[in-house]
Amino acid sequence: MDANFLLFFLDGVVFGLILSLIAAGLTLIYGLAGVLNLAHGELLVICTVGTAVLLQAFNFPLPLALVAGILLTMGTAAFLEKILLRPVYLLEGEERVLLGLYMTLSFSILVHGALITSFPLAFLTINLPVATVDFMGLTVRTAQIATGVASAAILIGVYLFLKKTWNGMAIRSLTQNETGALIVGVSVKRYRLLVFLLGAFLVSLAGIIRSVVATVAPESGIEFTILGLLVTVLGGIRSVYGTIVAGLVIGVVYTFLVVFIGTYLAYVALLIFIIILILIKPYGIVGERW
Amino acid sequence: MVRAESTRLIALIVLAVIYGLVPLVFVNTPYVIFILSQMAFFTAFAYGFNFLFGYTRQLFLCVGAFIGIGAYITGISIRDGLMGSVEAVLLSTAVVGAIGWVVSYLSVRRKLVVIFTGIFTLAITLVFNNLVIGLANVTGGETGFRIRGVSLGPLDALPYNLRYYYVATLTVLAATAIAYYLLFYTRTGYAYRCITDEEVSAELVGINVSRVKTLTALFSSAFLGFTGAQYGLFSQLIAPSYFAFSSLDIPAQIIVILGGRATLLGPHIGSAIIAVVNEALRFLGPLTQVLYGLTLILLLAFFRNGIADFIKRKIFSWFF
Repeated sequence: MDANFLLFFLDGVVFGLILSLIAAGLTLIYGLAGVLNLAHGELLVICTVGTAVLLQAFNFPLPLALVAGILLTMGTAAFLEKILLRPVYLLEGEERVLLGLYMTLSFSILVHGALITSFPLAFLTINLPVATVDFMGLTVRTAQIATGVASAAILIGVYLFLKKTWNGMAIRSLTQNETGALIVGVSVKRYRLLVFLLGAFLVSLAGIIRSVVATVAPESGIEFTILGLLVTVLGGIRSVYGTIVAGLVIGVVYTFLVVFIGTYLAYVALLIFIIILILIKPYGIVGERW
Repeated sequence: MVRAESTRLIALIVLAVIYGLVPLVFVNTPYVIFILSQMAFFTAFAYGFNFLFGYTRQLFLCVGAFIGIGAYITGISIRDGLMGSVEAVLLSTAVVGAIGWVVSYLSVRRKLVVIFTGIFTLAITLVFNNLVIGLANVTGGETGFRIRGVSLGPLDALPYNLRYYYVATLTVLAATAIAYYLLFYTRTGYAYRCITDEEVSAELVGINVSRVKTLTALFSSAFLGFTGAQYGLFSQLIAPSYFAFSSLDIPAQIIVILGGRATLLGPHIGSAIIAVVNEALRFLGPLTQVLYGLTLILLLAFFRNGIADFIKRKIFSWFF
């Protein structure tokens, strides 16, 4: 097998895991709160821009800046959930979904505008101390391995959290049957906030991990939102497991498309690929019903 | 009922008179005429979006991309001399209509239509932007390309901006009149209003909701392609920034929500207000986007039904 092929595949897997981290938050928030968070990519950028500004302008040490960036993102998510989405929760059914989409879209427009005018140069790149390692005759970038392992570990953590802990089980029960969960005494309000915080935490980690393998620009929020949403749709919008599979599929396919037909056309091909997959498997690739 | 119908007819005639007379006041200030033409085009865009989102709840987040596809097809055809301007505009209309139909068909096939349409059309916006920049040798990339002016027949006697003001105004007035007739005087229109009010009940009484939705998407998208082609001819410079999400989608959404979704007069009212406000806040420059986002949030939280509904409820209730 060609060595380059393996490296591209590894690239794709890493990118796919990052997309899964973004999409896992989207899926959890949609499943529990009934809001498709179109500002999710902007949350990622809030974290990277916040960290970059603290690093460049205030000379914070890296770990402190990262923690501050994550906390900033979680704070924003709490604001979004507690204040902006308040009118949304008063509605039911399709109206709620529609207003939720719209509210988060407006918020993402606001954040995008504010970030690109205030901090147009806040790019975040984190360099690891060791550049490359030799592994079974291949020269692999350390960044790739580190980010891949980190994302996989986080995703396993999310999986265990949902399966094993009380809070995780409460979240799953609310997603599957809200009335039933209410009857046994699970508070929707509390877990809605928790899920937003968790989503913000995961998406900040995705941003940080992305900045180890590539540069995250202040204006790239919408792109991450769209990629995350495509993963969510392909994975079956309520299934975290499906999201991880779909993230890997899209990450690998997208990386190879970029290599073979170029960055710009890759999006077109990716969209066509997803349309075909959705036509064949209308309930997502792992086949769970919405 | 008679009274409501005559009120609507009067509103339509008043609208046409206002559109006809306003530019005559400003005929000596080309800048105002330019703003008015821009406003007329935005009303048209909001009209297309209103039918998709307001009436049938299909959240198409690719208004800018659809308008852009229309403008690029027409622009490229005219620049390279592939076909005459009329054929080019027709081709744009057909292509965009077809894309809109496909999107709607795919979404209707799945449940949770609102979300799927939203995600899918956002992806179309992204693909459009990448395609325009990626195919730089055809589209001129980031800087775009210029086309020469096209003859508009008898309208050529007018100053340049005024010509396109009338083109856009006539288009949007014709759309208003046709929509008005179809909605209130035909059986299909009755079914349509049922769907707007309560989709599930409409389905239960035997209305084919999916078919109405896909047809709406077909016609509204075709309308966006048609006006987009005109917009391209009007601006003569066809560049990606003109058709970006922030320059077309966001204004169209604000116009529809401010004016009143699922109303025929809403987009006209909203567009007039936004044109004035936009001029007044021009000094803000790039911060306008922040303001747009904030406006949308406030409108959604406190003024979701729009001005048209407000007038109908609070002011007209005095008369009836």
